[in-house]
Amino acid sequence: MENSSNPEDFEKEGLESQLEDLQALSVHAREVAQGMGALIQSLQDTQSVYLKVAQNEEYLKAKIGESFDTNYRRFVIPSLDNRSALVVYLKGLVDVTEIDQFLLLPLMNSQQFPQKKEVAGKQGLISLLTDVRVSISAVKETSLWAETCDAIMAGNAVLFVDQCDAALILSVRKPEGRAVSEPATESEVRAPRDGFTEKIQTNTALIRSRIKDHGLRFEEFKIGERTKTTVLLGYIESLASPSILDEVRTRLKRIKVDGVLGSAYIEELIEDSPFSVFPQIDHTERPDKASAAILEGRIVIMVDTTPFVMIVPTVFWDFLQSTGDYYDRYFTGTFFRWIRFIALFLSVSVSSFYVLTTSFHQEMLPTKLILKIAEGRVDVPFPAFVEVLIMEIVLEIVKEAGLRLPKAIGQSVTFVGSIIIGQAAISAGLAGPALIVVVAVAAICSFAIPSYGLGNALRLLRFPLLFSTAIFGIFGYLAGLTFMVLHLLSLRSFGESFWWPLIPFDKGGMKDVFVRVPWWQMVKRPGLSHSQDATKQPAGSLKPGPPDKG
Amino acid sequence: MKKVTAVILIVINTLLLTGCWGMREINELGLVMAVGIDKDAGSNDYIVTVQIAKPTVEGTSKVNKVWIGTARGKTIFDAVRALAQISSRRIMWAHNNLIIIGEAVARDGILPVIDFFSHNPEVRMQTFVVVAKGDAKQYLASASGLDEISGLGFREMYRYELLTAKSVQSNMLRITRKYFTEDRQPVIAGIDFEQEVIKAGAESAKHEIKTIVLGGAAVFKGAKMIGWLSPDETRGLAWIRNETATTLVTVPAPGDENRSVSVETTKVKAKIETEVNDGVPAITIKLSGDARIVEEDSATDLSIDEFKAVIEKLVEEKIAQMSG
Repeated sequence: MENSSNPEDFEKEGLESQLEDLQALSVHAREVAQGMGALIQSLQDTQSVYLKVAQNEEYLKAKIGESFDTNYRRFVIPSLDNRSALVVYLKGLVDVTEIDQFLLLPLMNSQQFPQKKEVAGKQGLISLLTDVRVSISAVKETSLWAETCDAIMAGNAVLFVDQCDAALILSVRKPEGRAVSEPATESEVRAPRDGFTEKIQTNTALIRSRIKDHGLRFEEFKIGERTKTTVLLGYIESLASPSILDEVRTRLKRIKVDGVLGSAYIEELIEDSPFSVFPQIDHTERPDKASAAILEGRIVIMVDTTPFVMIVPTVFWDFLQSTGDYYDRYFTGTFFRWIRFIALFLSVSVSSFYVLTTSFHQEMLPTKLILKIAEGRVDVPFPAFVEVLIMEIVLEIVKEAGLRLPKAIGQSVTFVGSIIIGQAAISAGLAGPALIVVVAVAAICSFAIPSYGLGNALRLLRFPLLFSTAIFGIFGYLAGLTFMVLHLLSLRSFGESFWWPLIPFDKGGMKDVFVRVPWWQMVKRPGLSHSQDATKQPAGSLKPGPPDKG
Repeated sequence: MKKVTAVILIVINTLLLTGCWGMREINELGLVMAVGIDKDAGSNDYIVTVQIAKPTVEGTSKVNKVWIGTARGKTIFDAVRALAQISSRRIMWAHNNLIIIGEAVARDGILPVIDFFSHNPEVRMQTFVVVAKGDAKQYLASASGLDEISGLGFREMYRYELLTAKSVQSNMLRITRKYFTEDRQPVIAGIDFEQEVIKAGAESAKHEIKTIVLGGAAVFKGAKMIGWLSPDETRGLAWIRNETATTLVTVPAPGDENRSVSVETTKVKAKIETEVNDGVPAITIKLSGDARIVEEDSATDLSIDEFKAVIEKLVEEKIAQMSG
C-alpha cells in the first residue's frame, strides 16, 4: 500500500510545485506589464506641446479625434508676423461668442503691439498675448499634453501659437444646465426655496452666498478615470476636525473607478459598512442644510453633475431631522421629531405586529377589536401572513409604478391604485379592512421619514421581520427587532459613533436629538465634529425678552 | 464555498421545517364570550355551555352574532374537550368575559371551577364570575344590556355595578385569593332574570327575551355556597368591607311619609372592633362617612341645618338596619 502510493505522491508534489511556479510567473508578468503601462502613461503625461501648430493639430486629431462637436480653428495673428495659431474646443460646452469676441477678434486685429518686444522667445509669447490681447479672465498656461487634453474635454478652449511650446487654456465654459429651483425631494414650508443644481459652480456659489467665513474651503478632487468628475470637500478650516478631514481625503483618494455619475457612486465607495441596508451618509439637496452642516464643523462632499451633497460624518438622527425643525417654533419642531420617531417604529414593525396579534397572540388585543378584525377576515382564505405579504407587495408595486410615471399621472396612479385595489381586495376576500389600514399606515409612515434612503431601508426590512414573525411568533418578532437594533448600533460613520450623542452620551449634543432647543440655548458646537472652536455663541445672554422697565 | 452553501441550505431548511410555530389564525378560533357551568343532578356530569362570538360580514345584521354550544363530561375539562366535537373552531378562552356558575354547582362546591379556570393559561384572572339563580345555561342564551353579544354586555354591567353597589365585583383573582385566605370567604355576585318583562312592539313579543339583572350575592363557606344575600344586604356587606365608592340611600321625607329623600354617601369607612366578654366574642362595626342630599321630593318648613340633622339621623338608622 505504502510502496505503491509514494511515487504517486511524489509525482503530484512535483506537479504542484510546477503549477505554483507558473502562477508566480504570471503574477510577475502582470506586474511588469503594469509597470510598463505606468511608464508609458507617465511618458505621455510629461510629453510637452510641439512648436509647430500643424504638428499640434495632428497630435490632437489623433488623440481626441474629429467628432461632431470638436472644433479646430486655424487663423493667423497679423500683429505677430502673420504667425499661424490654432484654437481647439468642444462645441456645446464652450461659449462661442466669448471666444469670437475676446480671443479671435483681438488676435486677428492687425494693430501692432503697443511696446514691440522681442517675441521670438518660446514662453514669453503666451504671457505677452495674455497680457495685452486675450481679454478673458480665467486663463492658464501649460505645456503638458495631458493637461491640455483634459482641459479641452472639460469644456475649455485651448490656444496654440506657432513657434511656441506652450498652450493657453481659456476657461470659457457655457453656463448650461437648469436654473436654481426648489428642491424636489426636501420641500419645506418656511425655508429658503433654492436647491442645488447639477452644476458644481452654482452649488458652491449657493453655499458661499450663505457662509462668508474666510476659512471656507472647497478642496478639489478629480475622480473617475474616464469621467474625471470634480468632487469637492467643503468645510471651514478652523471648524472641521483635521483627523476626519484626513480620513475623508484618504477614502476619496483610494477610489479608482471608471466613472462617477452621481453622489451615490462616491457614497458607496467611502461608507463604513458596505453590507448594511441602512444609509450611513446623509445627503441633501438644500444649500441651507449643507451650510448648517459646515457650520457644525462637518464636511460636505459635492459631486459635479449631481444636485445631492453628502454630509459626513453622519449620525443616525440626521436621517430623522428635517430642516423644517429649525424653521418652525422649537415646540412644534420637537413635536414633529417625536412623530417621526413613532413613524420610524411603525413603518418597520406595524405589519409584523398585525401578523403577531392576529395569528399568534389574539389575547393581546381588546375583545371588541379582535371581533372586528375577525369580522373583516371571515371571507379571507389565507393566513394573516400571506394576506399581509400580498398587500405589502401590491402596495410596493403601486408605489413603484407611480414613481416612474410623469408627475401628473403618477399621482393618480398611486391614489387610484391604492384605493381601488384596497377596496377590491376587501370585496374579493383577499384581505380584511383592518389589514388595509395597517399596510397603509406602514407605507405612510415610511414616507414620513425625512431621509429617502432610511425610509427605503425600513420598507425593505419590513419583509424579513414579517417572515421571522410569521415563523417564530413573538420570538421571531423580538429577535428581528433586536437584530436590527444591534446592527444599527454596530454602524460607524467615518470612524465616529453613528449614535452620537446617545452613545457615547453627550449632554450637550442631546439638545438637538429628542428635542430641538431654541437657538439661544445652542451654545456649543456639536461635539461629534471634534471642532477646534467649540463655542458657537456667548452663553446665556441671547435669550430674548421684553425690555427691562425697572 | 461548498461549505457555505451547505450551511445556508441547512439553515433555510430548518427554518422551513419548523413551519409556523404556534400559529393559529383568527378565522380558526372560536372566541368564548361567556361560559356557564351546570351540573346534572342525576348523572353527576358537568355541563359546560359556551357562548362563542360568530364574526359576520358587515351589513348582515340579521344573522345571530353568537353561537351557543353545550357539552357534558365527568370533569369540567372533560366537558370542554367534548365541546371540540361540536365546535368547528378551536375554542379560545383569552377573551372570555364571564363565568356563570349554576346554583347547583355552587352549592356542590366551586373548587373544580377555580381549579380549571385558574390553571388554564388562556383565561384572564380578571374574568368576572357570577352565580346564577337556577341553571347557568339559560342565561347564556338570553340578552343583557344593550350589546348584541351578551357576554360583552355583562362586562359593561359590571363596570357600572359600582354605582349601586348592590352586588359585588367578583372576578377570578378575587375569588381565588379569598378562597385561599384564612380570614375571609368568597362572595360571588348573583344574577337573576328580571321579573317584569317589557313587551315593546310586536316583534320583540315574538321572541320574548328575559332581561338579566345583576344583584345580590352568593355567600360561600370554603368552596360551598351557603346562601344568598339580597341586593341591600350585599351593599351592607360592601360597606363593612370598605368596597364602595358612592352609594345611594333613600329615606322617607321628614313630615311626609309618602315622599322620599335620596342621599348619596361617599367615603364610607368601616372600623371593626372585636372584644371578648366572658368568653363571648362581640364585634362592633363603626361606619363613618360623608353624604350629600341629591334629591328631595317634598318641601319642608325646616331650616337647612335642622333638615340636615333629621336626614342624618334617618340615614344612620337606615344604614344600621341594612348592614345589620
